[in-house]
Amino acid sequence: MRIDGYQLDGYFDEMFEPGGVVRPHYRELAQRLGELSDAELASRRRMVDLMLRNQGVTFTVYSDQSGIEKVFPFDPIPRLLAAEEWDRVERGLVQRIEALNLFLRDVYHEQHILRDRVVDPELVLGATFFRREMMGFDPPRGIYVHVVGTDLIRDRDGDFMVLEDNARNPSGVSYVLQCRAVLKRVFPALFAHYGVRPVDDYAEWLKETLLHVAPRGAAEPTAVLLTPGIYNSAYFEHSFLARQMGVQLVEGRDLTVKDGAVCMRSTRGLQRVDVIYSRIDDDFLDPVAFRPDSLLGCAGLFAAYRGGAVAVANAPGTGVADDKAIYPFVPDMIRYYLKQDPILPNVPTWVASRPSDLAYILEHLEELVVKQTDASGGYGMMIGPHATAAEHAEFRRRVAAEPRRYIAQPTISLGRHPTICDDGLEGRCVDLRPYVLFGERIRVIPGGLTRVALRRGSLVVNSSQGGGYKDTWVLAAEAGVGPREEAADAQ
Amino acid sequence: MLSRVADALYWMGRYVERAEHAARVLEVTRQLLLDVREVDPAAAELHWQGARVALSMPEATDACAVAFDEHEPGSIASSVARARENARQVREVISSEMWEHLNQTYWALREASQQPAREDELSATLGSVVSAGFSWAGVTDGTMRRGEGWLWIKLGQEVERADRVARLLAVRGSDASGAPARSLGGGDNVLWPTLLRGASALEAYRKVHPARVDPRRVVDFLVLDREFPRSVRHCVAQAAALAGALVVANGDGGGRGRGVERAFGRLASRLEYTDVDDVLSAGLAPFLLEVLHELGGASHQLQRTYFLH
Repeated sequence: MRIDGYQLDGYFDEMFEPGGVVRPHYRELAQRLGELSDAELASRRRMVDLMLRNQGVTFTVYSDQSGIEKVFPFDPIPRLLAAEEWDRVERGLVQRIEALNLFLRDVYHEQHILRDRVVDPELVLGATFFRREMMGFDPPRGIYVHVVGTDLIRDRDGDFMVLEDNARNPSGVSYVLQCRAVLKRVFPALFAHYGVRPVDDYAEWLKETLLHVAPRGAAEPTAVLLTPGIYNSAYFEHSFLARQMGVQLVEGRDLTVKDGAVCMRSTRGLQRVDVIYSRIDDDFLDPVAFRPDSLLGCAGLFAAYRGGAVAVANAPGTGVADDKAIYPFVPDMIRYYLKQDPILPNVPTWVASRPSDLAYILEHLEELVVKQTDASGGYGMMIGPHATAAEHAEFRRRVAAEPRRYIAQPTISLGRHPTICDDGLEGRCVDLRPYVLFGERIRVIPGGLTRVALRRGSLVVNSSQGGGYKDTWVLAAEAGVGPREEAADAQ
Repeated sequence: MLSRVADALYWMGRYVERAEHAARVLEVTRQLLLDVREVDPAAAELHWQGARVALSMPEATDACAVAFDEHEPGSIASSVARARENARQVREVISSEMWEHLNQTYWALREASQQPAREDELSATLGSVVSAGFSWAGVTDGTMRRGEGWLWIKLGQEVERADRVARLLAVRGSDASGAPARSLGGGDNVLWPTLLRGASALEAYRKVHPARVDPRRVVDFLVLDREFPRSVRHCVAQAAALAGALVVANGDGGGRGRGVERAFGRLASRLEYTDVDDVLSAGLAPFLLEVLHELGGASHQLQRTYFLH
């Protein structure tokens, strides 16, 4: 495959330096790609597609016409992260989850940070995902956010910045594990050469994280994964993780509350549940405590939780920490609670509820990315430079009417990565979502999910909107940098 | 095992069996009508109505509706769709081969139903549904651990099989007095071989009774044969054994599951110690309706005990 005609187009590129020279840790990969014929590459691509289809690695598209599931789009060229860069990212992520957790404890108890006016109380108490039912309650071991997926992007200079935190129920980790399983078979020798840090322990870590918060006294605690069911877009992931962890995959109708404890209905009768890894929104968790029309959850579950009979991960109410209106204050939280400087910066953000910011947003709407604070998945946002005049007018009206619901950020040209396209190798925008687990200790999956916008010029990496995935390799220290004499992948 | 999962496995087994049975009965009935229609149109109509009732289809149904009308609970399309829907909910419990097989059957049937010449192709379509049922059973036996999940699927199959054969015979095999029917057009030579074919039993029957097909012997064979896998007695005996295995699988010595095992066991021993003269003196239809009633009661008790608590 030819890599010499590759265009940088002024973007930061993961593989190439601005002058077009291959970065040191990518040399081996670039050389290997150069040696592969187009036919070989095509055959490996087919192998990838076949493996994914056979294993049923799919996501759901919301229409029932041609059989509900689609194989997810996967690009076989891995993304490489050097050890020292990853080390900094990892420390930054650990710092961030600690701060988010302290923030949640604070807003659901004394609210120091609001009284000290570091964060506007209005923003927190008026947030869609603030749960007054959590006030004064201490979750098991004091942990609110057990699992977080933090989205990182690179700025023009290639420095990582945090785009957003997903502190409710981040999805996608099953794709990380699947991508890895596939690439190990596609590029085995390259894999061995680089000394890639493994990700296979994730399910085991997740299970430990869950069992860490089991109510004390449960000798052999039982954890379950609570899914909304087969029609949910992440159902594949739910069933995959349940199988990997060896826990039951349950729906709300499998659960019932008896004598203050949550039980699942089994063929042996009712069986006690100690920890629920919930993959449904807290709104739907319990029709008694939250939305009365929800059939996805279990009546009485929240009372059992508050009574200490069962643990729920993530805790209800964590959505207030990943609200896009709260996001601009995370660096302040880090300084406030941890007395440290943030290691990973935020993307500069204007908060429409601040009058001066609002004026700026309305004036520069055409250049900015405007986001609705309580939406996700690429919905409820407008990318100024790509939008029409009518969309500009619509968002100007909406922002002016409800400033609390909007923030704006400069249009950032995400970094790019060489990706196999119809006409050979082309640069495509990528982001990175590492997953962080908060249990007895904090652990970060080495790498995480690299999402790639497969459409030329697109910035949207969500799989529901034309995004795909790459495997992400965190290299062991020193590996892959110097030239090494080793056999290339044998056919 | 979660009750919801066991429930889905049990019904998946039942619906696959139901689809296979309906395809077989529909096809043999169509063959029968080809022979009778020209000679005796009134008798042909009676045969068709009998088959229709045995398959729980409404009046004014044609063969294509039995095969393809997904909105009609008695149709083959509906049974296949429900089997697949149940399978989809338990994909992590069954083998991927089982899921893929069922999924393919579903899509093939849908495709067939959209063909302009679907009526001309009906024999081929029905044949493929029957063989899909056979091979699905093979895939299930060949890929699944003999754990609780497998027991639920098998139990569903056996209960459904007993129910369908008893129902077919109760509706088709009797005149108003409950005695074996002799008066339908074409006589015994047409009806009784058709009933045997409807249970895939004609060849097996002939090995035991090489002489002419005789109504009394057919009843004996389809209801009481000890060794034929589709006789009511055999299916109920299997169901009782499976219900017992479920008690053991659930580590439940003298507990809840015993009642279910007893319910199936009572019916099994009744069939074991009955002979064909008892059946005929009670009247074929009344006897079989009692069997169906007891079988339904056992299945109901099973659902109350294991699924709906």
